[in-house]
Amino acid sequence: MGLSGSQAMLDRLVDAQYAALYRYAYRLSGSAADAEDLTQETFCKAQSSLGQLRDPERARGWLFRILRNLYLQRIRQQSTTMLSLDQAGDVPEPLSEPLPLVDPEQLQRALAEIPEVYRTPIILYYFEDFSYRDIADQMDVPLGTVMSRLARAKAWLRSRLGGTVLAADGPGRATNGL
Amino acid sequence: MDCRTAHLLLSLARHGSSELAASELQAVGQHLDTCADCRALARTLRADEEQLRQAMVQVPIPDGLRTRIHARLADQRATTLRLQRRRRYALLAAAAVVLLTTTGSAFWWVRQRPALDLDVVLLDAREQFADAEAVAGWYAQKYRMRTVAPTEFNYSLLASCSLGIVQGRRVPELVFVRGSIPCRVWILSERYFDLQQALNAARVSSGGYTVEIRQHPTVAGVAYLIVYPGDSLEPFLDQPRQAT
Repeated sequence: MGLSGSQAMLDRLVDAQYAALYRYAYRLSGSAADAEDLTQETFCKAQSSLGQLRDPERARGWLFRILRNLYLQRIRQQSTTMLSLDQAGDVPEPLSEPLPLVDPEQLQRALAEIPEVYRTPIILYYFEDFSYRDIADQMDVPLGTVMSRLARAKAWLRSRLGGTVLAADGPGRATNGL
Repeated sequence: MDCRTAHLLLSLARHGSSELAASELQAVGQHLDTCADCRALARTLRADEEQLRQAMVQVPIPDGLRTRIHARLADQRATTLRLQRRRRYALLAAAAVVLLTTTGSAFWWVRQRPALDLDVVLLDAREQFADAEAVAGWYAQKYRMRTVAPTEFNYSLLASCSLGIVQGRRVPELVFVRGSIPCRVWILSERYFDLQQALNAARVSSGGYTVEIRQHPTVAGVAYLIVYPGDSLEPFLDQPRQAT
């Protein structure tokens, strides 16, 4: 692909993906300024390494992966304390009570409380229609790990956003949905 | 299928996607047909998923973001081009420096070559050596080199003194000529050669030539590598003093 071909392809990718990438960055970082910066950085990085993209059909996943890596580089320098969903025990089951109306900002606060390894799959799952396999590829983890993390993160969100949960093996095994 | 398995599969299923196998979906469907509790749970899960999905995508996109991204990419391209140009100029400059240095050195070398002085050449050609001592003196003066020339040769036959190469090392080389037949002698020192091993071989003949090593009769650590045609060195030796 020539220089002008690469540029045209990147321009098309910007037009098609910038909004989704911004939303993803916002849900990951919780900050509009960081989200814009991450989105711009992602495209800059893509421009300088466009030659590494072997299959243009997978450009969307490639961009999301770049963005996540950039985000991880940033948070490595910060020492924030997160909830550990790994300590949660079995995944609780929901009761048949629907969630009350979810406020997007309340959702953002809940997302900010959980570790990135849970936050990323649930964001991708809900608003970008990535399959479990796509998410596993993005995160370089096995499919089963993705499913397990998604189940925990969903249970946590339901609990945090007002839904009621019940432990699968009785109340003693669950910790308030975590 | 029991309710517990149905709950698990319902939590993994995703509306409108094929995350579960067809057989699993069918089994869950059959269970839901017969279990009112699980049907209610399925409805709740679907409603929750839809709520969360809608809340998740409610992120306002800043005005002008796309334009700013395109502008930043254009900036990056311009910077990259500038850097590439600068790198190219730096390479060209380095190549020019190398070229100039090489050309200058070649020019200097050409200018430094000595002009041929025919008088000096004539004097050298007419130089006569009476004996080994005179030859040693000439090497000391010409090359600042201490050497011991062989004493048993007929120095009236000495045609030239110079430096020759023996196994990569420069050593004094004498050429004696009788008629048109040359005999070459290289003077070796034990400082640079394993003479003992060579002296053990002493003499080899092949193809009409003979190569032999002779030790200096009195000076230790000096030997002579001699190459001459035929099998006798006698025609080149000083007749009153036969070689040992």
